[in-house]
Amino acid sequence: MSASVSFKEVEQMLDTCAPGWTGRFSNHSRVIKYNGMVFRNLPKQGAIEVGFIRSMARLFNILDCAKKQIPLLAT
Amino acid sequence: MTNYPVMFTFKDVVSGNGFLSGVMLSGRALMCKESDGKWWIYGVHPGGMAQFGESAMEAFSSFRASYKTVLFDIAEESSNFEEFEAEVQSFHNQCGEGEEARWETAVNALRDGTVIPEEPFSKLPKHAPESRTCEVTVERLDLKASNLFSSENNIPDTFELPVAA
Repeated sequence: MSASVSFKEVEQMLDTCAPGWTGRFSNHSRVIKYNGMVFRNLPKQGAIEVGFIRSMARLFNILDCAKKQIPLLAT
Repeated sequence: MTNYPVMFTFKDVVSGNGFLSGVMLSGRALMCKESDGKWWIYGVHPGGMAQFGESAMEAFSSFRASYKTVLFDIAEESSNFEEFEAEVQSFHNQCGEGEEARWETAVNALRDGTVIPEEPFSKLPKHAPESRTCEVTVERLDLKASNLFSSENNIPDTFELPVAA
């Protein structure tokens, strides 16, 4: 069973749950910053497995909010 | 779903902008088989990364490879050794709120027998977490006298279960 979402959905979740977040590309991945924390290995291309989003949401302390925006996180 | 706490040590040599650095990291992570059927490894220290695989060992191998690319990215973004050192320290120290407690809870579940580890975890070397300090050291190698280099400084990767042997 695939459990992935588009980066557009991730952006929408971050806009709601992590206002002020910033993102950029590094050589190997997407780097997302929020509230002084940096998640460093979000995939650059294609659909994003929800495990990456779960890990990032825990780091940013926004998991409960993220689950409401991306229901796959709640499974 | 069982959360397995794991400990690991990675040692890397990283080329940066005008410097050569040795980075040795002793870290913590949680591993579990998620509902998508894949094994995931979630960094606790460092908290800013995760990886997955069809098996636990594949997930760990991917995590190891991703960690190295993060170091390469930080090296590329740092204009000197001091910036690189500070960013690697920051990367290692970042941890989501409650993640250390989740790791400790998983350790206690192993210790009190609530969780009986399955393979490959049952086959991993076991060490008390108190004997494996969670830390990162960043050393500048290009300014070091060559006669201080020794094969005794080589350290293989470790992947361990945090319980007393």
